[in-house]
Amino acid sequence: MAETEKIKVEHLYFWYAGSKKPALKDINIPIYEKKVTALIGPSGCGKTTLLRCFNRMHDLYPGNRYEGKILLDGENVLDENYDLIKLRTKVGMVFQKPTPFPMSIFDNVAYGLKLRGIKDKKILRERVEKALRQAALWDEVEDRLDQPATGLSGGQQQRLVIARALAVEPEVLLFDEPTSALDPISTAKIEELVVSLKNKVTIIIVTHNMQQAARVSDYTAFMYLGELIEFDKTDIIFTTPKKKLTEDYISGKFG
Amino acid sequence: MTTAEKYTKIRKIKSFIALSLSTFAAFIGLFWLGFILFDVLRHGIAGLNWELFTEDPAPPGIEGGGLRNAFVGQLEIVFFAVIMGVPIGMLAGIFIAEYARGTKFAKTVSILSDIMVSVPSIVVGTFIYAILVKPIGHINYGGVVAVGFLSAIITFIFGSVLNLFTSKVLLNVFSVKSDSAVKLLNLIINLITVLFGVFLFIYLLHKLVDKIHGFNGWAGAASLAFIMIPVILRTTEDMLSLVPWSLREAAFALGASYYHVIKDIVIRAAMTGILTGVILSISRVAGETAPLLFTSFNNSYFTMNMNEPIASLTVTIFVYATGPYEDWHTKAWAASFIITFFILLVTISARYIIHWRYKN
Amino acid sequence: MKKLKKLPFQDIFFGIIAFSASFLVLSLIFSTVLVLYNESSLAIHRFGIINFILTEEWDPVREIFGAAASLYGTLVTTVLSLLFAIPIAIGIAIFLAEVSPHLLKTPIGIAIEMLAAIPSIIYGMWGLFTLAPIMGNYIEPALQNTLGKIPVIGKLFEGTPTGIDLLTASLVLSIMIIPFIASIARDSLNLTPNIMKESAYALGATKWDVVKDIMIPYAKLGIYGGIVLALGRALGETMAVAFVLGNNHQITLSLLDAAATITVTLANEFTEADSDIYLSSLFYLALILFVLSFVILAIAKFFLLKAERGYSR
Repeated sequence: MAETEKIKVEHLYFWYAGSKKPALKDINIPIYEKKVTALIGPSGCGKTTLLRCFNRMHDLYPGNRYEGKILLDGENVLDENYDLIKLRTKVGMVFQKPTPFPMSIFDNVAYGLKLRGIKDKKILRERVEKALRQAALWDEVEDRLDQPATGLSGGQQQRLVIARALAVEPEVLLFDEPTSALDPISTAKIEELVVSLKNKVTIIIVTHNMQQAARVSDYTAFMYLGELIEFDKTDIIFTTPKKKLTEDYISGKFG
Repeated sequence: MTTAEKYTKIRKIKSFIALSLSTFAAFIGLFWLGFILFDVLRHGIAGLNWELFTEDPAPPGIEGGGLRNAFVGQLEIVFFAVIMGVPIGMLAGIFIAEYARGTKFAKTVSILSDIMVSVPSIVVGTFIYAILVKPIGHINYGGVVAVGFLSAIITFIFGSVLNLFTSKVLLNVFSVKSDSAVKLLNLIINLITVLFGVFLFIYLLHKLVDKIHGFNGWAGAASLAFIMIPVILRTTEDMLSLVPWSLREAAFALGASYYHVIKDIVIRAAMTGILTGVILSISRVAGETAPLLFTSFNNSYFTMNMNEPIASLTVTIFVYATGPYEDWHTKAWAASFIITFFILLVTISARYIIHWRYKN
Repeated sequence: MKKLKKLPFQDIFFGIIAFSASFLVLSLIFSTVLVLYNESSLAIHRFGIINFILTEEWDPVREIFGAAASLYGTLVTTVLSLLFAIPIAIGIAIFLAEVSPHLLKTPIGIAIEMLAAIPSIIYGMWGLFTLAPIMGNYIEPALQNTLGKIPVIGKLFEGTPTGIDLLTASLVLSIMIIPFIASIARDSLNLTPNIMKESAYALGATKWDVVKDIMIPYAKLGIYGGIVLALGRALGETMAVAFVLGNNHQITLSLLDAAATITVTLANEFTEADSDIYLSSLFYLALILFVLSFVILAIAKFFLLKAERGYSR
């Protein structure tokens, strides 16, 4: 069964502002549609830097520089003329710490929809409920949608953030170490969530937890010092990795 | 999807307009600043000349003369305000940040300090008027306090110098080594210092402070001190709180007394911040007019006697600007220019120092 | 106090000195209230409280005094100056927090703070010699010819435009308080965690969306505190207003009339007061102003403390 490439990264280099040394060197990687791809590697290897290229978060801070291409459905998103807002409607992001906006639970989830001009209350309510169900949060909040989102627990807040991202029906969802600030139970719930979304959305997840990568992902990319060392199906990476560096990392010899 | 695209376009336009408006607001702010400074510069420089500093005012309506009395008066008032305000503010700040840290007393003083800061400066003037100008015949308490601090500072310097002299010269020259001799010597030194202080105080009191006859310079200095004290207190308190407790612990572990810990370690760490706060508050009171209006009042003649009404630059500007003579207006502008120039210079330098120092 | 016996002499000595200093500070504030009350007691007994506040008359000859005219002027100039200042100040804060290029942030920030450092008497001078003529000769006539023609609003612009009036005074005052609001607003806006802003951008928000929906709600309490603080400052300002307000003890509807504020009344008349009741009434005004400032400060503190608590969560 041939798997479609949703995103193709070609010869990607990236420099942080004021830095001569590239933080990412010649990255070439396919991201397969409706599969989960994990980016793993020791601290500072560039996995989060790479993740933030997919929705061009780096553009928020002047001076950052890209070279190479990231093709999303064939179009190069790194191109100057590519509309950033359009990019971010297609590619959503969940961050390391839960980031509920200072508004009610309902307004949080509806935020992305309101940005797209959806004003019809009926439609909003439907889509908010759908997103909250997808994020496995609906049952816990359905009777307090008007309350401030900050009143939720950490794990609930993170699921809220995921619901918020899902509400706009993105094609790709980026997760930046989504469970590093959460307790084990919430972590398990989020991992379940990621797996359940698998065949609906293309997912890229950065994690420093190898077991997590092994549990949820279909493909894994191992990075080290800004370079892509190895990319393959997850079972292969974790059982019979081809590069020695990968094997050392997996077996815990460093990082 | 077209609704989303259309809406996004609207949002982008809204964003552009809103952010352009904010840039415009910044321009307006800068415009006012430039306008005011330009005017002060333009009118002020036209009125600058040497006589301003060397001559006293001519009779009203007659051209010429200068503002020597106002410059000297302003300096004298601010000087005594600083002598009273800084020690009280700093000592009180040290007390509530160190000795009484966390107690209800400290919190009360802190809150009351904030109230003091918010008292309108003209109300400060009325308060000081009631206690240092109205009670005609009573001794001028403001002067007593000011002279007290002045003598204390001079005595402190005297004492330190004497101590230094004794330990360096006498001990080495005369090779006095025995413990009890050193202790005796110390006692004598301290006694001499104290006696010096007492006599200095009495002497200065006699020479400088008189009974209250009406408006006087001491009252002016006291009202400026009133304004300075809470600002310096809060700055000292804040800066001292920033010093990590571990620093103090390390010193205590070495057996130092709290006094020494504060003096040698904590204050040294917080010095830049405290000093900047002091400098900023001095530059602020140097430009105050309202509290002087009914305390030190004004004087068209030169005097350095703080028991009389004494001229100040700010009140002079007020009187001259609202007066009928063209010459007075010119002089008011010149004085405004000088005050503004110095205050801005001090403020900018202080801000850049803070920015530099705390960049980490 | 048991510990006291073990402490070295220096600690006790220095401690006592430091304690006296803080005690002095305490007593200063209490004495201020007491003295002001004491000095006003003659007027308080003669005129009462409500009556004094509501009486417009201010007649030194007949010895009838009322605070209404001064209070009215104080209120109008304060409110108007806030109205003028707030939009500009918030705009400046947004500019400094989000729009300005990084290198310009410090110099422009310092420039805005210079506005706060300029002594109020300079504002007065500039207001009197530069702004008032411009207002009187150009701006106010123009306002009279445009807004002055509209039925109800036109009442605000009646009278001879001299430039020495409530409008000019409020304008000068507003320029003075802009930096106070702008600094606190800017600091509050900057407290929004970067990750929050990034989350909004990641959903496709524009910069203004982020400011409007994320940063301003975050900074709301701090901004309120800053505004109230500026209110307190405007309330107690004397010299900036004294030059361009005139001294007219009347409640006047038109903004182009001279008026009186508590501070300006005190500045102009305190040294002229020739009778006990006159002086006492002036002290009464000072007491009222003191109480007002205190109340405003309490409200500001409330907002600022609430804001602080919100952030440390």
